[in-house]
Amino acid sequence: MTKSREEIAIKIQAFKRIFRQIMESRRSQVGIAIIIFFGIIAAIGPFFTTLDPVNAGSIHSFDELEAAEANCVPEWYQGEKITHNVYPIPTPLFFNASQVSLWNVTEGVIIEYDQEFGYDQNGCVKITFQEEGNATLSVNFYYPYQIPPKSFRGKYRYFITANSNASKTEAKILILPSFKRYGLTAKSYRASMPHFDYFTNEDMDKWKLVRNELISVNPNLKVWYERTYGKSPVDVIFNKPGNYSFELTIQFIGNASKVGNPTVYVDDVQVIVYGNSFGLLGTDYLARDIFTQLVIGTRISFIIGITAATLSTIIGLFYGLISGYVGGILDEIMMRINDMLLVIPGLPLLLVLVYVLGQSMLNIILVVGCLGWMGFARTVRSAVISLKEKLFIEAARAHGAGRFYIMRRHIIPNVFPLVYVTLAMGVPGAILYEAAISWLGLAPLDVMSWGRMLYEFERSGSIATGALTKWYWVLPPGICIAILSVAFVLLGYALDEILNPRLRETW
Amino acid sequence: MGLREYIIRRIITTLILIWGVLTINFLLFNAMPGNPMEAYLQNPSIAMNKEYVEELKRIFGIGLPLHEKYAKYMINMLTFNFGHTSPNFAGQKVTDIIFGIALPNTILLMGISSVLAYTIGIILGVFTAYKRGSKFDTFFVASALITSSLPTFWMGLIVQYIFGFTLKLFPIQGTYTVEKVAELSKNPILFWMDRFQYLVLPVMVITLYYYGGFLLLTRACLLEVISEDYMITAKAKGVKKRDMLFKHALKNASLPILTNIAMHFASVVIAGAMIAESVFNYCGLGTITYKAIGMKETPILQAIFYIISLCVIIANFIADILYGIIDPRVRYE
Repeated sequence: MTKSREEIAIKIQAFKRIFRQIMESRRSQVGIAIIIFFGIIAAIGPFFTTLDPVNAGSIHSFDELEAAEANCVPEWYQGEKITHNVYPIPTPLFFNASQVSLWNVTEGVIIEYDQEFGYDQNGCVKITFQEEGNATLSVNFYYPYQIPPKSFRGKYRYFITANSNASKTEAKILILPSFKRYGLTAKSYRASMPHFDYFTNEDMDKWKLVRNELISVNPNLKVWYERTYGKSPVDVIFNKPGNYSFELTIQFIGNASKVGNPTVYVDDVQVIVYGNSFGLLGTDYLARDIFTQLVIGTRISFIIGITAATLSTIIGLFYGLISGYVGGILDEIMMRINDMLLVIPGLPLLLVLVYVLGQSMLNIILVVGCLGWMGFARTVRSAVISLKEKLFIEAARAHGAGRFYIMRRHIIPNVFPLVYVTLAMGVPGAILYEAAISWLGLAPLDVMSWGRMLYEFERSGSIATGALTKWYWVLPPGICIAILSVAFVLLGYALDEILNPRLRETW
Repeated sequence: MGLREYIIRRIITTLILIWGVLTINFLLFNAMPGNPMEAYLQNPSIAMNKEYVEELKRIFGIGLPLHEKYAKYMINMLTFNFGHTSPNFAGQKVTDIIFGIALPNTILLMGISSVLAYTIGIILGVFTAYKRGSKFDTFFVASALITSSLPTFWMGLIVQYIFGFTLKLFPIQGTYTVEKVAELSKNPILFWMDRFQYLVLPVMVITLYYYGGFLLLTRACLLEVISEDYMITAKAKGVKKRDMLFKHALKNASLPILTNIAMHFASVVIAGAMIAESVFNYCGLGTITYKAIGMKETPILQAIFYIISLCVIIANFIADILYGIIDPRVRYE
C-alpha cells in the first residue's frame, strides 16, 4: 500500500515537472491558451446562444417568429443601406390587465381582461360585441431608417365563441392588421389581407393561430399592393422614417342578437419589422444566425477532433504493441492488413463508409477514428521491436517476468510518451477530415459544424458572386479550423520536444 | 538476404496486398445499400424491357451466391474489365472515363503541384534551418503551420475570390474552356495555354496546402545534421553557403525526406486532392469519385479504388527498391 502511494507521488511529481516544462515554452503557451479558449466556448456556448443553428428560421419552436431575415449582414456593419430589426411589440403580447388600455372600442363593444382564459391559460383580452362595431389594438413605434425594411411578419391568436350558429351571410368577424403612419395626416396601410371568420361550428370554440397571412411577402398581399400602389408592401408603408403604429382591428358585422353577443378572445400578438442586419455575424440563406452556428460548431469540432483522435491512438497503440511484441506470423499478417488500409485512398473510403453507415456524428467519429491509426501502429511497432532487444527487458525475462507483466510494466510506459504526441497531432487531422466530409455534403443533418457552414455557403449559391462578398460567413469557420488545428499542432510539438528528448534540439 | 531475394519476397507480399485490397473493395461495395441496377431501372423503357433487365441482372450478378459473385468480381478486376457506367453517368466505358479523362487530369494537376510543393518546401526548409531562431524562420514556420491547417476548400474559395472574381486573372472553375474546345484542339499550343490557365488556381491551393509539411520536415532533418562536425569543417574550409547547405547538409539529411516524398507521392498524388478538385470543379479522379458516391455508381467506384490502390502499391514497391540504390546503408531484411 505504502509502495503504491510512493509510486503515485513520484508519478505526480513527474507530471508536474513535465507540465512546468510545457508551460515554459512560448509555443505551447500559445497552443494551450487557444485550446482553453475554444474549450470554454465549446462548453458554455450552447448556454448563451438561444437561436437554433440548424433549422431554418433560427427559431426553436414554430410558435415564435423568426429572429431575423435571411441573408442579413452583421449588426455592427456600418453603412447607409443598413437597417436593423424594429420591434413594434418587443415580446409577444400575452395580455395583462394594464395592456387592455392599448385597445379602443366603439360603442356597444365591451373590452375586458380575462385572467383565467387565454392560449396558455395565463390571461387574454376578451371582446364582447353587443352590437355591430369594432375593437382596435394600437401600439406606437418609431421607424428610424431612410430605406424600407426587408420585410415584416406577425402573428396573433384568437378564439371566437357565440351562442348559436349563423349562416355566413348573417354575421361574421373581420380581423385586419394594419400599419398607420403619422404625419400631417395619418394614413393606414394593410399589413395583411382582411381575415374573415364565421359563426359556424368549424370556425368557433378553438384557438387559432394566424401566422402566414401577416407577412409582407404573402402573395395575396403583394398582388394587392402591386395593383393599388405599384410597389411592394414594405416600400409603400415604410418609405420614410417616422412615427408609426401597428393596429389590429377586430370588427363584428351582422346582427349581434342573432348570434347571442359574440365574444372574441385575442392573445399572443406579435409583429417584427425585419431589417437587413442581424446578430454578430449576420444570417445565412435560411435565416439562421451565423454566430450561433460558429459557437455550436466549436463544440462539434472539439468532440469529433478529440474523440476520433483518441480512438485512433488507442487502436494504433494496441495494434502496434501486439504486432511488435508477439512478432512472427501474427506480426506479418497484422502488418499486411495495415498496408492494405494504407493503400486504399483515404478520403474516398471515408466517404463511402459514411455513406454506407449513415450520416451521423457517431459514424463520422467511428470512421475517422478507425481509419487514422495505421501510421501510429507502425511507429509503436518499431518502438516495441527495438525495446524488446534492450537489456532491461531481457533481465526482467530472466527474472521470470511474464509477457503481460513485461508489456504492462516495461513496454507500455516506454512507448507511452508517443501517445500524447500522437493524440495532440491527431486532433487537427480529425478536424480537417470532418470539415472535408461536411464540405462534400455528408454531414449529419442535425449537426452544424464549421465544415458544414461552408457547405451551406456553397449550397446557398452565393458562391457565384465570390466568397468574400459574404466574408462574415466564409472567413470565421475557416479561420477557426486553422487556429484550433495550429494550437493542437503547437501543443504536439511541445510535447514531442519534452517527452521524446531526441528531438530537443530541433524544435 | 540479397537484393534479388528481397525483390522476390516483395513481389509475393505485393500480390497478397493486391488480393487483400480487392477483397476489402468487394466487401465494402457489397455492403453499400441498394444495387447498381437501380440507376438503370429508373428509366421506364429499360424497366419494361424484360430481356434487357435479365441481361443486366446477369451482368451485375444479382441473385448469385456471394462466393460466385466474388469469383466473378475477381476475374473482372484482374482482367481490367470494369464494365459501363449507368445511363445517369453518361453510360461510358469505365476504363475510358478513368484512363482517358480522370487519371491523366489528376496526375497533371497533382504532379505540378507536388513538384512545386516539394521544391518550395525543401528550399525554404533548408533556409529556415540555417537561420533558425530568426524572424525569417519564425515567419515561415508559422505560415507553414497555418497553410497546412487550413481546409483546402476554404483556401480554394478565397483564392477564387481574389484571383478569379476581383482580379479576373484566371478562370474560376473547370478543366478547360468548353465553348472553345473544338477550335483550341486544332492548335496544341493554344490548347495547353488554355489548360494551364485553369490549372493555376488549383495548383496554387494544393501547393500551399502541402509545402508546409515538407518545410517542417526538411527543417527538422537538417537541424539534426547542421551541427555535425563535418558542417563546421565545411564552413572552416570556406565552402560557399549554398554548397554547404545543399550539397553537404541536405544530401545527408535527405533519406527521411525522400521516404516522405515517396509516401506522399503514392498516397496523395494519385489519390488526388479530392477536395481541391471539387472546389474548382476540375474533372479529375476526385470529382468523378465524389459524383459517383452521390449517384451510387458502384462499378466506377470499385474501379477507381482498385486502380488507385494498385498505383500506390506499385509506387511503394519502386520506392523501396530505389532506397537501396540511393543509400548504400540500407540493408534488406
